[in-house]
Amino acid sequence: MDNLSTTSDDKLLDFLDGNLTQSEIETFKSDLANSSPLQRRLEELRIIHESLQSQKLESPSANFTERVLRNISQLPVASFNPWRGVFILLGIAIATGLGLYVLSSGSADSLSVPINLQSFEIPGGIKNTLPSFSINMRTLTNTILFANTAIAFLILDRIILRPLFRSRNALNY
Amino acid sequence: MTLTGVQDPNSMQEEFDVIDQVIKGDHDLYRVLVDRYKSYAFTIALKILKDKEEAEEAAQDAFIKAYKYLGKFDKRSKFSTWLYRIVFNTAVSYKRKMKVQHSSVENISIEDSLNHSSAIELKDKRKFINQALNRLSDQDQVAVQMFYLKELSLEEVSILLNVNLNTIKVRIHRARQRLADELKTILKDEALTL
Repeated sequence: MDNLSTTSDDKLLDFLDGNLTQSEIETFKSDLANSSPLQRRLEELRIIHESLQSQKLESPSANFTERVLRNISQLPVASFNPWRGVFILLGIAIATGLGLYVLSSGSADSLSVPINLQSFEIPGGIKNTLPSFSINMRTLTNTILFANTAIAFLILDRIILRPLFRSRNALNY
Repeated sequence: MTLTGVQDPNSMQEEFDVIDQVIKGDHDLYRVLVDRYKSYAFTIALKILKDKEEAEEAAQDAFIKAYKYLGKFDKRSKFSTWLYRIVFNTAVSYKRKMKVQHSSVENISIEDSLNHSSAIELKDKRKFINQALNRLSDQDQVAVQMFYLKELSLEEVSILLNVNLNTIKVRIHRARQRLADELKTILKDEALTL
C-alpha cells in the first residue's frame, strides 16, 4: 500500500463488501479512474477478497459423530457437584469445632486411658514381653484435630477447587 | 436451521428442546447437535491447527466438553456460538500444547475461483494466500476466515473471539489489508501486477 492511506483501503474494502451507497460508488469509481495506485490496490485486495470468498466448509471423517458419541458413553457418570464437597467440609468443621471445645475446656487434660497389652489373651510366650502404657486424651484430641485439618484441605483441593478450576479452564469463560 | 448467521427462532427453540432432552439423559439425541455443527466446528479447528488429524481431535474434544458442560449453557446465546467458542479455545490450547508447526498448504483447501488474475497459477495462488494467512495471528486468521464463510454474523464472530463488535470489524479490515501486503511481499509485486 505504497502511497495509499488506510482510509483508502477501508473504502476499497467497503466497495468489495458491497457496503457503499450508490452515490458513494459513483464517487469511488471516478476516483478509481484517475488513480492507478488505487486501481492496483483494488486488484490486490480483490485477490484476497475473492480467494477468501471461495473458501468452503471442511468435512470431518465419516465416523466423526459416532466417535464423539462413543467417547461420551465412556465418560464417568459423576459430575462436578460442589455441594457434595461443601457438606463433607461442614462435617469436618463441626468435628474440629467439637475437638477444639474439648481442648479449650481442659476436660481432656486430666484424662488418660491406660492400655495394658498383657491383659489380652495372646497365645505363646510373647504375652509377658508386651508393654503397658497410657494415652493422654489431650494428645489424642490434638492428633485427631491435626488429621481433620489435613483432610479438610485435601477435600477442599480435590472436590471443590480442582474441579472448579478445571471446569473454568475447559470453557475458558 | 438456516446456514446463515441468523437462526430461525423456531429452530432455536427446537434446539433448546433437544439440549433439555440430552441434559435429562437422552444422550443419543446429542447426535443431532453433532451432525448439525460438526463441519463448521471442524473447519474452525482446521483454520487454527492446519492439520486435519489434529483438527478432528480438537473438534471431537470440543464436542465432548460441550456435552459435559451442557447444563451450564444458559440459552442466552445460540448453542452454535457457545459451541464454536469452545472449539476455538480447544483448538488454540491444542496448538499451544502440541506446538503444531505443519505447513498449511496441503491441508487447507481454499477453492480458487479467480478469473481475472490469470498471471498466478491456481495452485501457487492458493499456496501464497495460505502463506500470507499464516503470517497473521490466530485470532486474525479465524476472524477473517469466519467472516468469509458467512455462517456466523459479525456479532457472533466477535463473541467467538471474545472481542467487541467494532474491534472485530476493524480487525477484519486490517487483516485483509495485511494479507494483501503480505501477498505482495511474497509475490514481489510483479506477479500481482502482471
